[in-house]
Amino acid sequence: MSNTVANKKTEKKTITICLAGNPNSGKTTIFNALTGLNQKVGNYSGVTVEKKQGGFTYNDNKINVIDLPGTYSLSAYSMEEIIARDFIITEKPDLVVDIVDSTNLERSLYLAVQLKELGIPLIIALNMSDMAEKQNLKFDVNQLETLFGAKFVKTIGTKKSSLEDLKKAIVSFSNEKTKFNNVEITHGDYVEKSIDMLSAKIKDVVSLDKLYPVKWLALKVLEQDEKVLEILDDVSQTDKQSILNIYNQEKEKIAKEYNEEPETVIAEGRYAFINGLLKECTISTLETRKSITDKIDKIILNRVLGLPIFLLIMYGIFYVSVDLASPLIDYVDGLFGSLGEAVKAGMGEGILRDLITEGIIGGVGGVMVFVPQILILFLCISILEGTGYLARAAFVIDKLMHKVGLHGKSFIPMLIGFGCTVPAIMATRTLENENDRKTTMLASTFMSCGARLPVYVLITGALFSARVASSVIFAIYLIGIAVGILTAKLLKKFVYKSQAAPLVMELPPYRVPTLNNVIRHMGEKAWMYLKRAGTIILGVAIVFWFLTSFPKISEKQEAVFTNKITNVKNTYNDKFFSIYQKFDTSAETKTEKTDFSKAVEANQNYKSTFLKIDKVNKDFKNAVKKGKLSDNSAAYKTLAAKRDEKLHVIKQENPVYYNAVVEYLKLKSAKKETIAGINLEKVSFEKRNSFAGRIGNFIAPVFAPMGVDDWKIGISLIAGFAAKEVFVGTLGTVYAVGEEEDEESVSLRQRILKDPLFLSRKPISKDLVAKTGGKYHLINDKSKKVVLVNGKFYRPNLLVAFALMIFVLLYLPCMAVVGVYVKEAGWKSTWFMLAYTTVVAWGISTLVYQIGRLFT
Amino acid sequence: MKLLNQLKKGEKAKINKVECTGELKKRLTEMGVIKGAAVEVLKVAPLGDPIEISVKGYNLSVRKSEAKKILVD
Ligand SMILES: Nc1nc2c(ncn2[C@@H]2O[C@H](COP(=O)(O)OP(=O)(O)OP(=O)(O)O)[C@@H](O)[C@H]2O)c(=O)[nH]1
Ligand SMILES: [Mg+2]
Repeated sequence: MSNTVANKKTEKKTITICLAGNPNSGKTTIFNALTGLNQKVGNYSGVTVEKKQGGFTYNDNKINVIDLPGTYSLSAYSMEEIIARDFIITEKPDLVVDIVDSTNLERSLYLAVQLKELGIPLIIALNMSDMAEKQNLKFDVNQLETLFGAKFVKTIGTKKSSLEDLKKAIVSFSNEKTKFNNVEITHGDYVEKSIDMLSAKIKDVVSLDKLYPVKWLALKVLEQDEKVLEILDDVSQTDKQSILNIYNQEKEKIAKEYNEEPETVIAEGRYAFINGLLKECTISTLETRKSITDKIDKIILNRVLGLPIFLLIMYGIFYVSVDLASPLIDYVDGLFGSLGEAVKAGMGEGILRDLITEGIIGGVGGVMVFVPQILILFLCISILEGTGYLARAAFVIDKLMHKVGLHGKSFIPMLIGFGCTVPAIMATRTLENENDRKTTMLASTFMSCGARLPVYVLITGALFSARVASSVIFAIYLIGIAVGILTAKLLKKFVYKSQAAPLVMELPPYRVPTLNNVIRHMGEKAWMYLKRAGTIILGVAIVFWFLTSFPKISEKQEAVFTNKITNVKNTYNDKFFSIYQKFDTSAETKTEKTDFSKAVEANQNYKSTFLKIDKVNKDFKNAVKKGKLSDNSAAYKTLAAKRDEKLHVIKQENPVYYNAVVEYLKLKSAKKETIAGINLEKVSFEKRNSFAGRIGNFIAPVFAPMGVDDWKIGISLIAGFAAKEVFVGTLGTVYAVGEEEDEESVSLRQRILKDPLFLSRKPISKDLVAKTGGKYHLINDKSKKVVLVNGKFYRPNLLVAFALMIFVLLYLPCMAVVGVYVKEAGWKSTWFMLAYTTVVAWGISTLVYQIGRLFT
Repeated sequence: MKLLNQLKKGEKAKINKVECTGELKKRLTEMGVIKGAAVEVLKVAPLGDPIEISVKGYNLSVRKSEAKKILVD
């Protein structure tokens, strides 16, 4: 082939290349650097489980790039390896770029040798050459090219500028490939003879030799390669049989000579070739010294410390993303609160305003509040993935996993599941055994994903004391793990019976995750979360706002409530009149239409006395607030005594006025409370009468055995199937709808705290309660919450809250998960999963509630 | 001659024969666990199984039950 022809070809045609190589050699890193895309990178084997496509142009050449999952050889077992092998063998890209880890050449070149045997155009990228340099590993690249017969290029995946040579090599490969083609890898006399025998036969079978090089087919038959045996199925039975007959003969000959299977002999031959090659081409090697990785592993995989460190890391993640994120959450919550206020103030009353403040800000805002949390969680997970700890976690936990019939490697998808269940399901592709895979998939739906975290944070934040909130959430996570593992055990025992696959797993060296990767990964997840908030959650919030707001109650019902309020107003007006008489003795008869509360407040005598009393009370309140005094403290009591003294002085001045003012204030607040009570009754009547209320009430009995017999929760749980954080959004909407205008805006957490559903059944005695900074708590334990509802004190019902959180943890995964589940495991397994998670969630929550009730 | 699982932490040896079949054998072979390769036992997992070995310049974890099938000397 002349160069001009080749040049023309490269100028016009788009070249399709693929990036192949061992797992974790940096393929995706290079893919991202070449194409500018943002595929996931991580420091463990099996990050990429699907082929991904991208492209770039270099000197007017269009290059189409396929990133493949990693594979150790062309005889593949696990799904993601099969994807890589099938692509190389059947799709025959124009060029394969084999990304090899330079610090690990001996093993990496094994795949390269196989690619070479296949006779496919090949460039070898000596990646991680920065690490090689650090370890003082040097190779003679020219010598490698000559002896191996392919182009070698040094690269550093994490440094874009180092890829210039690779790009150049890719574009000009068609000129150079002829130069390298002459080297052929031989396998020793016996094997070569067998190959010749098989080749002779295969040549006769016409349809075969067109697809692949004859010698390669012969070699693969000798290796009993599944894929090639499949190809043989396409030829006639007699042809196939005669080929297999020759194989059997040759197998025996080889066994006699080497006492091994042919495939082992061939593999050893390849390694022998690589050994020889490296001997010729290595300029310097450093004798093995204790690397940093070994030093770190000495602690992290320590026999005594290993397990505690593992648990500590897990706990650390939750601590950071629950406790450290909470001030941020309060901050964002505040932002949305004031946004709602601003909209309320700025817009005229009406349906649109309600939709925006209650539906959108209540629902979407409720979910957006958790963005900081999601960011921190994914930051933690991408650090875990980037450092190389994931494979260690699998190593530490393998024995436990093995006990339930699974695999240490199954633990990796499970850990990924703490971020999001969708990639977790995808990550099961690295498991070699189909049964293990299905088991792991089901188990990983129980790992609590990031979208479930807002639910726990909301509920624990509302009801539990801050001190225990993160431990409670951690307990929920542990329950998820336990249920997942138990599920695996049951499945392995009764459904997917099979031997666990071997644990032959590479432990990569520790790496510092690149900032770029971590930020990109985090950014992507946050963006996805926001996108969902802007689409699904917005949609669901609007729908649920309508469902909760309509139908409006009938005019007759409306009139009932209006009458009630008028009656109350009239009764109080009479009482205000008698007080008014005290200030204005000339007022003899009562005129029907006068609002006597206004009249009282306009009266000079009232005003002067009121201002005096009010000042004393305000001063007292401010002093308490300033000193953050609890109302059972000594300092509080001294202040109170001083206040009473001052009030007494005022009383002495004019006892009649004084008593009238006190009486008036009491009546005024009683009136306000009564009217608020009627309004609340109306709102809850309206809500229960709405579509959402009816649906919720219809489904609520199902949840009664687990203690959450409530339409709001019922309907939010249904909505939560769209995505788990929708549960929070829907609660936000459902609680917000119909709230009174003039009431100061109350956060969702406070509304939940006051919901009768989450109150202890019996009120607690006033003597046990103290008040600090406007909040009630127990005297003997300041961090425990107490709520004042209708003049009585209650403790939150933590058992109900806990059972509900367990249900959210375990029940149906979101729709997106169902989508991948169908794709990865089929409909049958998906139906099973849906039924199983529902039953388990209901069963365990009920069990927890019913057992817990015995003790409370 | 010993089995790989009998090696102590830090002990080095050379592989003599890999005595298993099927997938495991293929897997080990292609990852460089073959006759003549040098191995060193680096670590035992906190729960006693699996073990971490170094072979061909990288670190690999194998279960003891798998290591039992690898003869070393
Ligand atoms: N020091 C160094 N690290 C690199 C280089 N290239 C990639 N890495 C790191 O190696 C790790 C693996 O990179 P990936 O690109 O995910 O590897 P992969 O080959 O796609 O892995 P799989 O998809 O699992 O097969 C990451 O932690 C990268 O940051 C390099 O040239 N030098
Ligand atoms: Mg990858």
